[in-house]
Amino acid sequence: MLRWNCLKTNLSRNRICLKKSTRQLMLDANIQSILQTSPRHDVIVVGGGHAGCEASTGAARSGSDTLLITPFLDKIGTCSCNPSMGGVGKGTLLREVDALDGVAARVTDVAGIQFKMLNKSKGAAVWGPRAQIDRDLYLNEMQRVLNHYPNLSLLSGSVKDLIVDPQRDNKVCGVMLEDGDRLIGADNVVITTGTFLNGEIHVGLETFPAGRINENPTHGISQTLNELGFKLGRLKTGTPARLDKSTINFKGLEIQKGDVDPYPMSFLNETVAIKNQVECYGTRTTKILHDYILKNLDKSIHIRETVKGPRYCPSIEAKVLRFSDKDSHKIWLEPEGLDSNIIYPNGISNSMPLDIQLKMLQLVPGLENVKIIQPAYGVEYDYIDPRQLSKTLETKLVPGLFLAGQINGTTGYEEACAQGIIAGINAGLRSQNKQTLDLARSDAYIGVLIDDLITKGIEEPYRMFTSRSEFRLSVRADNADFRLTERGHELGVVSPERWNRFTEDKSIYNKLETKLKTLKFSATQWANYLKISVGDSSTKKSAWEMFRFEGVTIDKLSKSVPDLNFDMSSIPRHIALKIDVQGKYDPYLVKQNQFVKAFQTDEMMLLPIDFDYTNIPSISLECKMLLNTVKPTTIGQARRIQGMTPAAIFELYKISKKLK
Amino acid sequence: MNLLRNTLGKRLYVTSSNLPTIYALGTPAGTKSAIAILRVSGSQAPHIYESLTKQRITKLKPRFAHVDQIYSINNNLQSEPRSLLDSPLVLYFPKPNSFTGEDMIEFHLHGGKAIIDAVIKSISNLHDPNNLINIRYSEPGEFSRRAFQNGKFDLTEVESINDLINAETETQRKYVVSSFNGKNKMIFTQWRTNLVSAMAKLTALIDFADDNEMENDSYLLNEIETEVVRMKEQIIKFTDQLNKSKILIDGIKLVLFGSPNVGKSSILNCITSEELAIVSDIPGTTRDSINSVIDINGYKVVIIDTAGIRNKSDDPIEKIGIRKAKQKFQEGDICLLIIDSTNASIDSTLLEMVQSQDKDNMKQLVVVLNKTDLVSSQELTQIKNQIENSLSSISPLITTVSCKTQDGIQQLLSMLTKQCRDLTTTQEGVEPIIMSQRVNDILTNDILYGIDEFLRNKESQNRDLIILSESLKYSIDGIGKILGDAVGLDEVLNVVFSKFCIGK
Repeated sequence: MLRWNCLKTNLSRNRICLKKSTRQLMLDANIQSILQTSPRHDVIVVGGGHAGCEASTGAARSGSDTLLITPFLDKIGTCSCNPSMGGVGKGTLLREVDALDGVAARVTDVAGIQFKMLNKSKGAAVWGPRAQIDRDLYLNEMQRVLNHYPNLSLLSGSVKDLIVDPQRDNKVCGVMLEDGDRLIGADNVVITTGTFLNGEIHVGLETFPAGRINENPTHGISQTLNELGFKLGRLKTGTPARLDKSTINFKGLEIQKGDVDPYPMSFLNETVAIKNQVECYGTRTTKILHDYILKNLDKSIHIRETVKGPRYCPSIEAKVLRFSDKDSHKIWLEPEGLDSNIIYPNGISNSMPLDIQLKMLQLVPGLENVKIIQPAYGVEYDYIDPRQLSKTLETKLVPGLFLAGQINGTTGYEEACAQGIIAGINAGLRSQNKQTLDLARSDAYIGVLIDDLITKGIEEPYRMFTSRSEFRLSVRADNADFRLTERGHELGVVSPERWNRFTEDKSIYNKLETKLKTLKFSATQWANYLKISVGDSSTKKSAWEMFRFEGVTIDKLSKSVPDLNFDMSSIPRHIALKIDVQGKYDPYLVKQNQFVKAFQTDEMMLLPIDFDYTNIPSISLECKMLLNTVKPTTIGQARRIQGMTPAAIFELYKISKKLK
Repeated sequence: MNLLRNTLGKRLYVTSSNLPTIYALGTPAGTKSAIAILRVSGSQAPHIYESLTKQRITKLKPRFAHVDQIYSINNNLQSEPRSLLDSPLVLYFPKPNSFTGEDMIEFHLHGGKAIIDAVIKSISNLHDPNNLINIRYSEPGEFSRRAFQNGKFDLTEVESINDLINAETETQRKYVVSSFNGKNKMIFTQWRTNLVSAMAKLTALIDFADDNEMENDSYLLNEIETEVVRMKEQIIKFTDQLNKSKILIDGIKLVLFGSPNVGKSSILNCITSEELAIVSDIPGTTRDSINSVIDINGYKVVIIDTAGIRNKSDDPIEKIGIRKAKQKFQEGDICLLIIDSTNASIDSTLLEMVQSQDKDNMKQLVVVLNKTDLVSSQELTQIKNQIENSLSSISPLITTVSCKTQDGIQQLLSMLTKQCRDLTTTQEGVEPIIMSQRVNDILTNDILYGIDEFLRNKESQNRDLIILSESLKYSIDGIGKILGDAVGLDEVLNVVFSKFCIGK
């Protein structure tokens, strides 16, 4: 309780400080002269969360002089919600970030305390690498990496405002800091402020401004964006309480172990740093607990509001309300670190008053005597309608301004990383007038994520699911490097270390594949070697074709077929996996390749960027509005806008140009 | 992408295709015209030409008119002999010098509905997704769309063609929409709901298994299986009915055949009470097959009279007539074998024709004993027994008439009415449906194909939920195309979130 009061007074004091002077965002002669004598960088990244870390290192890798500004340097790399990275769909995003030489996957391999490949029984296309992480290790490692990153400097400070030049289409010229209204010049700025834009925390019936618990929200940028013509919306999410480990009785609780032989998150690593992996514990909510929640629903402001929260991450109040037939819901007790005394109870996020939270938790088996270290809370924040962004994550309204992460209406660390790396790399490339990086839906989950955001907008916080991708068979976690590292290298955003490693991997893979495809035996011989029936066809079959049969892996082949003669210990594990998966899906991939090509037909038909659709006579008013909001860049993107009619699409062909 | 490139096989010109090859009638469907133009566009156009004509595409001089013979293509190439369908004019426009910018072939067919249907059926039988040969009936306005995609229009051309396209899509849309009403629409909507529900279960298993205590994979997969198997049965019943309804629209084909001079034409005249066929006593008067459309108690019946069939004829013209008669017999829905009571032997050619019927496509045979006024009732009973014996493998219906006295004509007509009813009704109270070839194609090639793929892959030892989900995707995209209401992921997710308690 002491901590709680402390928090409240702290924040209300801050609220008073936030009454600001008039905003000075337009470049005038006065500001220009100050800017000329102020420090300058190629790229400024505002915010040090997951998106900010990837954005700043991405911009720096492109060769641009980059500055990361965040209020507290020692909070860079904070994981503000659950202590885990990756998962189904999310793991693929993380691998893609890694393939573009991002930092999160490597940091995860240092900080991971329980690695698990999810969806192992479902099909290799949707395997989801996930790791529970040690929060402190993660934060420390991230800060260590950023502190020594070439072309990157870090600055502790709060950005109060953006400076834009009205003479040049409101192009970004720099930022102003809270601290003495200092100016810093930059032609490209990436904003990654997460839930901090007009952030408001709800605990019970209490509401107070905050971005994360104990941290001030940002108001200035929100207002500036509004004034610049951006459409803003409100979203909400929540996080559960943090529990005192020593007050939990783990006896009799379900034990969840990680994989015995963990797959690392990064393609650069063969093993993970921490060998002694920890366990998680499972317990359940009870009927009495549900009744207790229902009785106290009137004490939570969060659940009653109309602001949209994520349906796939419901608070316990929402679960009890929506699934009244269920007497019990699962709760996972996840340790926040190797030596940490904090337990993260996954599955019981809520925004009840503190006393009710405590009583509620104590109704859970194992938590009878639990103590709360930090209460659960709901947070409500501003986001920018992402349909105002282009594929590079640069805003259409303000040239040089990029947005990434939760500010665009997404949720999750991995989604933030994915946008951060794209925004950062592109801000860097833009500042050097180089060609930018845009990924298509058929290239990567990142491409799907960005295309969904900028085409459809959002109605609830956006999380990655594998089902969002039409190309799950070919776009997978295991082959992210083969899909993206070359692209990154061509644009100069992949370090030599990564590139050398990649070319080595690629050559090993190619040699293996060639050998497997050329080694052929009759069905009888294969049956003898592998002890399985491979059909009675008279034609000889290659080793590559054997992967289609159950249980055939490169490991099994090398053990059973003397002619193959592979030294498995010299083959990196992720390459062996690629061979297994690629071989298995091969027959289906030929089909999918047709889809990819068909898909690309419309993606090659470019639409003008600055086109006013109001003046096309034969398009319905609704379609005109949709087109003017989204401003699609290809016919394919226009087709994906919900509410577009075939007749309107035909009209678009008129103004489209074929990409050669 | 590199990985994908590596996996490309080498299979003739088949793998170079990106978009499915499409075909459609360029002339209005359902109206009578002297010729009908069927357009084919896409990488498989040459393959379609070669398969239909048994000729090499290289034979065709681009943009010149050729006359070719085209032959039917059956579902299963080995089993049935291929019959001659038509001798159309063929035009070949190799890419990029065509309307769509793809390889295009135009078949100028003779405008009979039977010919058009047979050619369309043959082309759709070439669809073979497992070998990457994707062929389907064109979506509304798709030819024009392809033309745009291939940059075939510049702005000025577009202005003038624009109205045309809008008109085309609009009428086609109306056509599609108007064929859905009442019960049929409900059936389709129900299938759509079933497929969304199946997809939601798969999605929950794939994307949210970790977020939730899900029932185990097998339990939910079996639920999906039960659901789609039930749907499959319904769809098959529906397409059967579709074909039966087609008979209703196109007319039930009633073929009259028999030896020369047994009185086929007289019976035709009795039924139609019009002097349609030339009646004379000289055997072989009817050299050509004669069609007339009549109404038998509310059923549209196309009567096809044929030349008499006999072994011995040397007359070349008569020989052609006989060959045609055999062909007509194959196409008929009901076949009347006319026998002269005064000469009640069945010619061996006839016997062979009747007995060599395709097992899957058995026609109802009605034996009509004509000229009963010339024999005694005792003789008649004897003749009946004789015929029953020689045709015992087919168990035909037997009736007797006399064209002269009109005896037995009413009985014959009521027997035919009953046959018509049997041919066109399936279940009680189900309304007849008229669907376009497009819908028929989608039901079979997308929806049923997807379900079959799902069922096959579910039983595979190497079961993979993604492959299962990709399989059902065919079905779900298909139903979306039919209803003009594509199933988006959001709709699937809505079901997931309302059915399963997702979220940690």
